[in-house]
Amino acid sequence: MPRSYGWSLFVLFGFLITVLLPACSSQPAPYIDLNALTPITPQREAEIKPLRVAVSAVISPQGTVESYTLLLDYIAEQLGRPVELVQRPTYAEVNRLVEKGDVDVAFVCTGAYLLGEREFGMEILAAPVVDGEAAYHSWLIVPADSSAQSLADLRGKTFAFTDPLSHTGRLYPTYLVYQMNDRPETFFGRTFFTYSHDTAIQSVANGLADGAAVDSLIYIHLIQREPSLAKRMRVIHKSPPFGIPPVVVSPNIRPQLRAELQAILLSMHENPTGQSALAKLDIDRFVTLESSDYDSARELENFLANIATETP
Amino acid sequence: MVSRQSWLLWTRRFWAVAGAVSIRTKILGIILGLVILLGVGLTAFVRQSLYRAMYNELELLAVSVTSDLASRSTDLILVNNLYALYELTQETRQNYPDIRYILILDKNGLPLVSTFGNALPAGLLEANQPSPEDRYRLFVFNSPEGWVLDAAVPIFDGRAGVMRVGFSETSITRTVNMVTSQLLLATLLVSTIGILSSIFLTWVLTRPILALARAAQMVGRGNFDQHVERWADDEIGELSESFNQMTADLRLAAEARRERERLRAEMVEKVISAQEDERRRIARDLHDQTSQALVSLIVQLKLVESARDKPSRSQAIADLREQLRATLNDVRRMAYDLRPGVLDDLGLTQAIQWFADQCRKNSGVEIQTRIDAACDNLPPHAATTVYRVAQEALSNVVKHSRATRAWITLGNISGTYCLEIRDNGVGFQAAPGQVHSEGLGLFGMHERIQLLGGTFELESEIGQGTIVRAILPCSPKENEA
Repeated sequence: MPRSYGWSLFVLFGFLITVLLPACSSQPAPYIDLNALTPITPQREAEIKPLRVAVSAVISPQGTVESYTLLLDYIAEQLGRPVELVQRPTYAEVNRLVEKGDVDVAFVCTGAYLLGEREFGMEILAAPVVDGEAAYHSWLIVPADSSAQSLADLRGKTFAFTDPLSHTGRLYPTYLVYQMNDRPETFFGRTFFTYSHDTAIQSVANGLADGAAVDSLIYIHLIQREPSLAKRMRVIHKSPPFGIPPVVVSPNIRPQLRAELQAILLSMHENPTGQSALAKLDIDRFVTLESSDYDSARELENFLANIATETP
Repeated sequence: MVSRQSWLLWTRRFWAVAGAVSIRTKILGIILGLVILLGVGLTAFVRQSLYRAMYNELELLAVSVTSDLASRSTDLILVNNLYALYELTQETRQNYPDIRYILILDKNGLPLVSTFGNALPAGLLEANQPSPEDRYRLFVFNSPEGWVLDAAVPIFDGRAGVMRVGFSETSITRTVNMVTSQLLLATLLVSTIGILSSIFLTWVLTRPILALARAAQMVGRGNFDQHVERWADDEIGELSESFNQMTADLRLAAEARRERERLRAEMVEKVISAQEDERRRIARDLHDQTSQALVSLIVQLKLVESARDKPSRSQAIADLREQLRATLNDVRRMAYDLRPGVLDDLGLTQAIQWFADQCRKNSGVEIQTRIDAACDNLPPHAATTVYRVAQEALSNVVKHSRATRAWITLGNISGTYCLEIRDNGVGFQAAPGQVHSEGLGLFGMHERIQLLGGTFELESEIGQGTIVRAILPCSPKENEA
């Protein structure tokens, strides 16, 4: 009799143990008091100050990192000094960084260069040569199924600008609209800024915008990386050549550093590592350009500036 | 390990307590015990499973929210849009109440934006450091607010930093505790229902048992008129039925016992009076016959003494001898009646034969005998009984039946000894089974046979004669008398 009681009790205890034990047994976890806050100690200055290179948001920030890493690594290797990539959402902010000396070198858009040159004497360090020429174009693109044949057909439609300072993405299409004796605000049904060219391209490809003007270099670069995009868009207009977006420095840069950087960039295509870094950006090589090479762009800007002062 | 002895000891102690309480308490205890065991066991089980399921869900949520935050913050980090990052963390924290903190680290592992502001809990930064190849890394730590699940997701393959989001357990614990308390409440409710139903159950179960106990007490006091109601057609109903049957049987047995006692008392009385009758008869016989004969012998002796001549003396002596012989015969007959030496000398069969011959001679009734000599094997006390029954029955035939013929049969039939005395006399009205109503004779026969374990039967009709039948088993019981 007691034996049978023993079995039933054993089964009962077994049941309770299987059910209750896992509830109690959790492996000891470390203890952190979330309310005992200690102030964050300020970061110690790096012993070797890195060269800070700003890249304007011509393409999306992640795309920028992907594309420029090899180039920056090459510069760091040649310079014997770490290089830090700095990105900002707008061209204006990058200009501000150059002006204040917060960055040493900047890859800026043509429009931003012209503005920077005017405002604080931004200087050209070097300019890339793409497909044999140191110039680029503004291409007007529409979705593949659009019936538009020219900018005139986009009246009343949604148009995507890239950056307010972008030469190809904003200034040139605005110029075209003024040429038709109209203003973008009234000509287009709706406009919006994408702050980068690849986003503008995606907006057109996805039908978010009925048209956009983009940097021809970025367009070609993107189509190469993503050929399916070509089927979803059409180019309906190509601008005359403008001076290519340059590599700029502050007028206050140390002459020695400026010379060093220029030498690295100009001889980059002679070095295999440099060549592959250039290939990543579809750049043949770097050349020096004069301010006068940007006259066509400058004329367009002046035209727009005059319009702006004429129209109240 | 508990030894068998102490186990037994504890079992006994338990039973000493549990066995002493009423059935009501036992049933109540069993039902309550089962309900509470089930309730508590189930609650613990559900609590555990729910906790596990919710924890797994929280892990999935943590990974998805943190990954989403990481991808949404990538561009913001790359372009150094700290305010947008701050807004992103605040917004996310508002949307997910389980989030205890959000911590965005730059690629050097230093805090960029955090919901803690310009300070950090000690040790939090180092606690969860995923490598750039990790899709995510989960880490659990304890804090004064309970445990916290920390999910770390590298942003832009670690090139833009690490997103860390801490999820607190409070909502899980709250849900689990709520479910637990609801389950316990349900257990309480079921326990209450259990108590009520067990009270009803005990009432249903104990009512017939208590009725049985009361009836059993009454029966114990000798009241056999108890009848227990059969409440239900179950085991207890069967028990009630059996109890009623038993009571009825007991009543019959008690009646039979009373009747037998009455008969025994009657018999003792009759035995005593029969003894007295016998003594009176012997006294009478001695007085009337033997004394008279002896007086007559004294007279005869005087005649011999006064005889003058030889021939008359011889005659007187001859008469005296004749007288003495007659007297001697009388004394012998008296002695035989008291105890038939013939039974001892000749055996049962011969004794019965001899007695039948005597009766025929004395009464003139024609008596036929058919006696199996094998019946001499009967033990002496059984043989005496058989002889006495035969003697009594034949005496009755001779004295009362006015029969002209009688038959005696004694045989060994299929393992039993059977004695039958039949006559063609006047018969009498014998009620069935009433073998003892005809006085001591028949009752005495009946009692004697019964004492040997045999049966006694009497068949008689007015004008149809009488049959007396005694059947004895082959090995009759020892006569206790």
